[in-house]
Amino acid sequence: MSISMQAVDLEIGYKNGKNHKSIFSGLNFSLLPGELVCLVGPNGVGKSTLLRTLAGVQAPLAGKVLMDGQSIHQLTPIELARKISLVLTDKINVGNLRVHELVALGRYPFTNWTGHLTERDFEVVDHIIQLIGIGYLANQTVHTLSDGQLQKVMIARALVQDGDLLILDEPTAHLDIMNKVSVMKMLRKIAHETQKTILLASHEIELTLQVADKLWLLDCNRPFTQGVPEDLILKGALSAMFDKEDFSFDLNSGRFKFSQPASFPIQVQGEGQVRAWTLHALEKYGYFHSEGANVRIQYLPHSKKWLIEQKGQTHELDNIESLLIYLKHNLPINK
Amino acid sequence: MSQIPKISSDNGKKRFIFPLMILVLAGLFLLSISLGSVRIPFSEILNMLLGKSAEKGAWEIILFEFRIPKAITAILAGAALATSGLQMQTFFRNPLAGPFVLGISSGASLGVALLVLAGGLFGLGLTWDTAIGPWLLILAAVAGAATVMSLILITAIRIRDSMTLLIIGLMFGSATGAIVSVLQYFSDATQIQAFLIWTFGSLGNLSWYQLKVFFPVIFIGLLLCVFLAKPLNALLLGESYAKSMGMRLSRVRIGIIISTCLLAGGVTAFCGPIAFIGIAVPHLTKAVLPVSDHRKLFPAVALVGAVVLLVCDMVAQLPGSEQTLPINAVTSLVGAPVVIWVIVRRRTIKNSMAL
Repeated sequence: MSISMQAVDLEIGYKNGKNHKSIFSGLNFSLLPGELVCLVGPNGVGKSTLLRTLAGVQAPLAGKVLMDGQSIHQLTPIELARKISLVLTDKINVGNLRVHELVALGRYPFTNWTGHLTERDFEVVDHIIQLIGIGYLANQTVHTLSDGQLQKVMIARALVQDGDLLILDEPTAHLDIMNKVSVMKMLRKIAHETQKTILLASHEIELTLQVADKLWLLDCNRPFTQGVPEDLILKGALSAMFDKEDFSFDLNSGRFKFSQPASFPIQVQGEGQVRAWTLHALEKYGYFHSEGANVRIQYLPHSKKWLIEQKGQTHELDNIESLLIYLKHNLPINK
Repeated sequence: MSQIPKISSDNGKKRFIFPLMILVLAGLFLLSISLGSVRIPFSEILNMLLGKSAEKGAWEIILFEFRIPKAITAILAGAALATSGLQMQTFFRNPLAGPFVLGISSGASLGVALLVLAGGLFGLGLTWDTAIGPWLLILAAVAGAATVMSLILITAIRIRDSMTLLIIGLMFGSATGAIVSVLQYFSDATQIQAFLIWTFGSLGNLSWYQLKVFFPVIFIGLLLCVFLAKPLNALLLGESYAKSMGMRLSRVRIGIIISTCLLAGGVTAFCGPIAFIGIAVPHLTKAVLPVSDHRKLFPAVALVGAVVLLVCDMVAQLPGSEQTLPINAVTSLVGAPVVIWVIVRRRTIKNSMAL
């Protein structure tokens, strides 16, 4: 199987005169064509340093990063630009530039010294604009775009650069949830259809679990871990990384939960969505489900009411809000 | 499949803008050489241009030795200042950048001040009345501009951030201005007057002989723009993106600095510090021609710069009168409102400064 990028005994960090500040060492990994890899880890752990090293912007302290058998840190800027393209978090301000012109800037490493676009360049630009589905924006000026549209345009620009590897730094930051999902799904589709490798850093763990072919976990005082997301979950790597005082990673749902002090047992009967969300609300206030607890809550589908039963007394309540108010007055939790 | 609009930034209107601007420039050139304190009939001007002799011999001297060199100087200086302003605005990603902001013009002024004022202190008494005077003046201005440029270049290598560099440029400008003030304090009235006249700026000081030096300097500076268009387009996305596309930042930075030094330093040396053309013309051009591609912007900005400075020069002549206003006052009157407009349009000075 071909490999698009390989790291051999890589040590990343900063060199400042004689001082070496090593962040991670002994990194060995490969990136395969058509793979969407998500790099996950807390702020300040060295994600950017790793991305910058793999992008060829920053030199490694030791070891090599290879593409096509060559160390990327020995390539000329143009050679590097033809292999790796970037989508950064930098704010751009391009005045009157139109979308197709911005995308075409990605042909920089291929055009001659005047920047003249050939038929071939136009073909690539057209093809990518269609692939990303931004044809309807092509003649708009860039400053009229929404954040989500702009991010797609920047991804198109990177793809036009036509390298084997596309590196994105937090591509879904500043986007609303719809655009986050749409950009991530699009990246997955691009990786699979074009057989390019896509590496992205993200804080959207729940989202990356759904789209990533592989996850890279970077955490302080822990070795670099990588693998298929589901494997990592089952191995407990994600829960180990995210088990903090305030919240935890729920192995069943693949979601994060705020850790609430659970201090009052309630038996929540029934099944399905209503039970799940009732429990969800109760847990926020420190109640937890326990079979055989003195207090029982049950949803009555016919009357669409919640029935609460305590010491033989029953009350019917219209919605979760009134249920919570009832609990607050009658079964307060001592803090 | 959705219909993809034809990718072409040239709509029908824009295609005529370049020929139109060239026509306007040619018309203004003719108008410029027909106006002056001595009234020469337009038919005579045309006759003389076509190689026929004029009614009066003096008219030929006025036309060929004064008005035409002055009009050519205005065109070259306008194009030079405007393009150097565009380079800096894109390079520093700052709409308020220009040769003045970076302190290059102040550097040139300092060179001249040292020559005129300090020269006076040591009893050299150099003014441009002497034969060697103008040449020393030019040398001093270019040396001053180049000194500030080199200081900025050295700083640029150590400090990567364009915003910081711009602030340092402003500080260089203030520092050189302060040195000029100190020099003035210790100089006598004649020298101060001589220096002040130079700071007013003038397009009429160049003979054909001086134009032979001025033209190649400006031409080389403008020629460098051809090579800078592609990297400047990439720099629209910022330094990080430009580098990720294979642009060698250090090379481009040196190219811009050489080009700017030749363009802005050259003009300052020969015509004095002409304010606001460098900062205002790129904005005026972008308002007329909404493009961002530097391959189109450079020629457009050069043409508009030439047109604006020609017009400013004609206004400075106060047609029909014997009086002449300082060119610097006229360009400031045109330029200051444009700069205010840029800031107002962006709502705040903060938005204008930090992109």
